[in-house]
Amino acid sequence: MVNRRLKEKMIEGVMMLCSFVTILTTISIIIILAVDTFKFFGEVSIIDFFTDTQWTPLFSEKHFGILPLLMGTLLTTTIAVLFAVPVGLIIAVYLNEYASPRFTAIVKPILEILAAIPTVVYGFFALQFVTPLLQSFIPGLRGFNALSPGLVMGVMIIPYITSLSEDALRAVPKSLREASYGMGATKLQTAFRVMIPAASSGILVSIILAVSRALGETMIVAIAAGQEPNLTFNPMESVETITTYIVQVSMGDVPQDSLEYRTIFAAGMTLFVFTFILNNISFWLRKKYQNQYE
Amino acid sequence: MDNHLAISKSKDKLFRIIALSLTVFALLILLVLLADIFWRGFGRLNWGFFKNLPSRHPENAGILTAIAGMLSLLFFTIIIALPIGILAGVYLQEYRSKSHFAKIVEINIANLAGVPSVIYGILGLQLFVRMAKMGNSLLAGAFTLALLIMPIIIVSTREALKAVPKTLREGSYGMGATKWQTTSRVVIPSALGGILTGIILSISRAIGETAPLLVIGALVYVPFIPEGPNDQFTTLPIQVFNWVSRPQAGFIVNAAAGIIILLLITFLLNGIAIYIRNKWYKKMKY
Amino acid sequence: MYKLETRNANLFYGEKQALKDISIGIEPNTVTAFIGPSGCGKSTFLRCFNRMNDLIDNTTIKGTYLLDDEDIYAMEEVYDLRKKVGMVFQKPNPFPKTIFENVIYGLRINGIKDKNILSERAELSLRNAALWDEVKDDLNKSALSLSGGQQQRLCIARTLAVEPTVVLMDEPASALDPISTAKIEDLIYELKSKFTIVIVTHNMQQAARVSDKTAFFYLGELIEYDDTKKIFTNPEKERTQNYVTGRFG
Repeated sequence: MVNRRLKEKMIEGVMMLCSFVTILTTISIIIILAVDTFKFFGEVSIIDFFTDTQWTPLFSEKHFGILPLLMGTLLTTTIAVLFAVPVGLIIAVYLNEYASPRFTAIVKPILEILAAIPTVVYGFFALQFVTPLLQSFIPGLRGFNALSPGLVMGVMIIPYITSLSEDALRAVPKSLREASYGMGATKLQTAFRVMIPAASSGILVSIILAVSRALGETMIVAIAAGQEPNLTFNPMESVETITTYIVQVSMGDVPQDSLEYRTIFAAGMTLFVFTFILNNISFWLRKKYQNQYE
Repeated sequence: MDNHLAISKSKDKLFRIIALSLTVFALLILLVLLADIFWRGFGRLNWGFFKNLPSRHPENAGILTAIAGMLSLLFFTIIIALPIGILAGVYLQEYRSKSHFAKIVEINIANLAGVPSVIYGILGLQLFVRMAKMGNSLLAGAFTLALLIMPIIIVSTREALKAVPKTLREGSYGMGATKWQTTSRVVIPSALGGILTGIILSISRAIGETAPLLVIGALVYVPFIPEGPNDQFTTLPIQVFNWVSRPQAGFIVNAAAGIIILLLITFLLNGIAIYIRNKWYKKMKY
Repeated sequence: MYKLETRNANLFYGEKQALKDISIGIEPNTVTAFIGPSGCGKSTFLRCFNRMNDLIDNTTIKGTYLLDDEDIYAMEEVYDLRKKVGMVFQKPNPFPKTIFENVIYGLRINGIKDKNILSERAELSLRNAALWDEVKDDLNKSALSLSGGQQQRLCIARTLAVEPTVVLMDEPASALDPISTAKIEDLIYELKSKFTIVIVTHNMQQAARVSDKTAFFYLGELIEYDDTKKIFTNPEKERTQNYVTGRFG
């Protein structure tokens, strides 16, 4: 009997250790990024990092301004979000308010396929199909540009917006919708004046998650946006994102423990902070709105 | 009043048309993407493509090492991630579900799910490649991917366990079984379908990952099949990435062909996962 | 000596008191029915005897609970208690395993591996549960393929396989059709010679049919406990009289 009790306690102990792994992962990420970022800022001033308009750590004349990479990330993400949010929301409203349940049951899973496609595939699509297509009617569009991967990223994140927003709309009590119809409102008016405001926190969560996803995307932009940092607001030009830079440097021959190597960590830390903040906001928002209609 | 109503009604109709068009448009994009890839790459699919090693000449290049690398990587990733992930899920759901600890882990997992995959790459680079001295080997890649997919396994294990009816546990306890006996003999077997679904979905995710592997040093040109966990490797998405970056038209065709294989594997896995989940869920409803 | 006995049993769910000062003694080899309106605490009280209430958070238990004069809450291993005191639940809950594996589950968790012993006990228990003839041809079928009434008898069989001395039944037939119910009631009558049975039921006719003694509960208190015949024809307390004649409940 004691033997069995001991065995059970041991098994429980092993299981508990396993559940620590994810916590250790987060701690490791933070520590690893922080340590080398700290060392990086031992040699590069923070002010330069945030204000210098050039990022040339691998050239002979070195600049360490994160703005070009940051701009590349933000530009592509903004394009993606500007495309995906209206489209995704309208589709969500349509599926929730207008479409038959059968239509929704067929369409929703197909849209989810968009989220399952490996990102190299999207990168290929952006470079080989979308860019030439856009070039045919946009003069001056470079081979590598921010517009094409931005739009393709937008396509990729449509399911994030649609699925979560549609869930949020579905969670709104029927009574609100019925009250609106009862007063003679059209579906459109009901959707935009009643349903969307009522589901706003859920919709907001979906947008934040989509933004976070786009910020962290690597392959689509690595393939189609370009590999040279470029501080610009012009989506027709080639840009480099933080994520592309990280991959580019780690694929190259940069000696470890050098300043150039540490740029990966500084850039990674910047990205991590953004997504970390966004994810936490969305988590707390979700917790809050889960209790809203109970 | 009438005028206003008429305007509202036509706005409504217009919206309906726009919305339906956008929905169809989104579906069309998917279709166009698949068609374009298929049209470009299908002709390239022949035996040679599968059994050749990479080469400087696109017509001779094949995906053998990429597939071998991918399978080996998956194997090691699974044997690392699966036991840890499932045991963690069981512990959190069956032993500690209401505790503070479980809440903290839950928040933590939600966070990890939103961390960009390159960051996992940096983690793997520093922790496994350098500090643990694994080098840019299959092992380092496996550990890195294992950390990446672990939240998926934990969450789906928890959901699967949650779906097991309370009465089954009561029946087991009522006969004098201990907690571990009940968990291992009754609860986990009942939850197996859901757990399996989670495993397959995490495999599907791991297969498509490129960025973290590039960061830990998976090579883009690997003319050999890895033989052990300490060997260097490449995977199919990396091979595709390599080809896409080349200017020669022949490599673009190769890339498209490689993508067809990649998509087939991805869709097959997801399809199996959905099938298993539906069958298992029906069983649970009894 | 009583088989089961409680003295001043009290139970609290958090602040709320579910059982108030219950003292009762149950003789061996009898069938005792616990009756009373919904929420009167009869199931809660039943679950004290095999400490199933331990599984519910925030429960406080006071008083003395004895099995064969031994304090069950002082027992080191609650698992031993549950082998001596088996339980059959309201909704049949066979495990998603074969019929055979269901029946011998209790034996396996006790480390019994000998195939001969397992087969013997399985057959014996299935016979005792009046299910053997219906399943003997294919014990490897899934337990879930049986009908509701058969599943419940399977649950009884697996409880019996561990060879308890007491069998607690929590509304065992309430989820079943009338024919299955009748079979279960016959079974209870048969089992009495080997086991001590306590059955919670909201069906008064059933209580009158199967039990030797009946205990009437109301709002957590034991109102009256006596021979079944007396309770249903000539009870002492007015409240009992009102309940059994259907004035409330």
